Amino acid sequence: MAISTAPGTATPPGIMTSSAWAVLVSLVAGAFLFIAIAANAQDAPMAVHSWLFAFAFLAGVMLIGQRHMTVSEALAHNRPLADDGTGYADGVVKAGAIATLFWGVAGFLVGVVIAFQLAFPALNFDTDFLNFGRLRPLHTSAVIFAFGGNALIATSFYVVQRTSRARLAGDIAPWFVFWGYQLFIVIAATGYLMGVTQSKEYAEPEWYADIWLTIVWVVYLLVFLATLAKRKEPHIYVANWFYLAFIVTIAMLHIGNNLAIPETLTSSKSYALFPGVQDALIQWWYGHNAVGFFLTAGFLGMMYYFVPKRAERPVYSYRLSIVHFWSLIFIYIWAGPHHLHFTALPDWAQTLGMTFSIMLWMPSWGGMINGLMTLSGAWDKLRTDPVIRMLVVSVAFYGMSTFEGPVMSIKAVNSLSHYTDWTIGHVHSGALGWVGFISFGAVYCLIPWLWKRERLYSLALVSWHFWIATIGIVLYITAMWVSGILQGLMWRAYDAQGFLEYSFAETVAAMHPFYVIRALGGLLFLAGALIMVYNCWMTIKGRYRESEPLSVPAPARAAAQPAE
Amino acid sequence: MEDATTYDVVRTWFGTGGLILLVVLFGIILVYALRPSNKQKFDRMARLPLKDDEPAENGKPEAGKKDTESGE
Repeated sequence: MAISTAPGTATPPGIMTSSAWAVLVSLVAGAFLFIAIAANAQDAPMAVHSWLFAFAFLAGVMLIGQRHMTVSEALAHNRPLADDGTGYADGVVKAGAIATLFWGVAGFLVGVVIAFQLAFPALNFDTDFLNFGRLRPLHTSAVIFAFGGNALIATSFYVVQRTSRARLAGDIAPWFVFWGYQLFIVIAATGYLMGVTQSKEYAEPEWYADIWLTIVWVVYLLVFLATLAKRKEPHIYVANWFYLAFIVTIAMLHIGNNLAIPETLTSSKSYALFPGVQDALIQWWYGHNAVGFFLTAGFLGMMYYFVPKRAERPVYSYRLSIVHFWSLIFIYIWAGPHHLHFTALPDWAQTLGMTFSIMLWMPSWGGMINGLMTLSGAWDKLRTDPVIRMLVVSVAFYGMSTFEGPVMSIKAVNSLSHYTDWTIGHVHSGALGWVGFISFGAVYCLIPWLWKRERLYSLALVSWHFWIATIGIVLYITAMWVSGILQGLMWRAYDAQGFLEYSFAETVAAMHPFYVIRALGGLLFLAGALIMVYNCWMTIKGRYRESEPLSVPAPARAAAQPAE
Repeated sequence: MEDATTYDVVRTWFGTGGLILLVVLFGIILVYALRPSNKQKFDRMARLPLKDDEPAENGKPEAGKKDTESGE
């Protein structure tokens, strides 16, 4: 009633409509297609992945059938439905929050493993599957796309409903986005372990996984747009602008960068459409905008909802949010060439990339200032609410890493920093500090809201998570600063005769202590995430830590008892 | 020769045209963002996350009042 909208959504979710039948038929057809591909597969990974696709599609058929049976049985016996199709659709958001936690721990764990591999190469164990070269993309994809992507999809589905006061569009579609995305992650991850890669950084999955992600992503865009289209608010809230920019741009980048010709339709190998330096430019047009629109715009969308909501303060300046949104959009897309300084890329293009990177300071800091100043009038919450502390520190890390990035894009600095661990440190101050903490903060908000708990199981544990993870980040980035600058200086040191002063192996040996410190930092970050999983798990179970009494004036939403 | 000329013309016009188009678009956005008459709307939007809480399950929240424009 409340937000039930377009005529026709009165059908409870799960009832088979004509579009539901169309999905069902497509899934069955897809399963047959992949069984045929599996039968003709030219290589073992393709056969494995075809079976995986076929199995997943059939599981999808089962899930749709199961849903339908449950609903029709409840209707037949006049039992009340858990979801009658009128409220917000939060089931998929719950699933997304849990997936975020799961992939977060998995991705951090692989990161810790490869950090120790760098410090102690014996940990490669001389097997193909656990080799650093295969685990590294597993780590980057797991944290960026699996952890970050699930956090973005879940929060975007939550935020777009609340700020539009409309139920999520579609019945099966949001679930298709969720499960389709998990399938992409599993295909990508198992592919890396089997050695399937197109060797494009942050876009390693091969052509068939790319096509699948394109389908999932287009459905995601349609769900988001259709929800906005039936909004009850006259304007589209700024967080949704950021989410929309993230969805649209990632679609464009993903398709552009992955244009490739498969060897055959039954082979897991493909060849990129562009040759040489053009390919490199396309790759970093993609790569840097993955940072700009996935890791920045998407998470700014998160910030613009969860920071004001948690602080109970309005956005500091809505005008600033409009101006810095559009500046970010106009400028970010040009910054990619700074990844190709001193390469075969024409000099003017390198300078263009550098110039736009420096201009990015302003929109980035516009976002940071807007996020931090939203706390004005509520700074005391930093002391009392560890979740707010996490959100605010994430915005501070955002400010720091978006200051460092433009500095590193300056050619003179880049000649020292490029290819060194400084870059790795920079990425992680953004990834662990900004993306990690803002996602943790958002999930800490979401879990009690979604499961209707008065608060988390324990705020003290959030504090523990916060401090352990912060110390981990500081260890990580300081170790990488020292190691990166040391490495850069050793590489460019010449002796009196003009010979290189150090062999490459000597520079590697010099990195050892810093690699150990970095691995320990990563271990602390992982430990923090495990605390978070425990805390969220207990919250979902409806428990409250006994030494922390519930607040006396129960908040409006207090349904303290477990409702499951 | 012919090809190179065509390329030059297209490149110049798209480059210059793109520059002008984007700068003008950005100017329009700035005007929109800074216009005093939009202030009320933006103030309302800035508070949107704070008042979206009506859980739709609780029955009638928004049904009766469509006066969302009145803001706070």
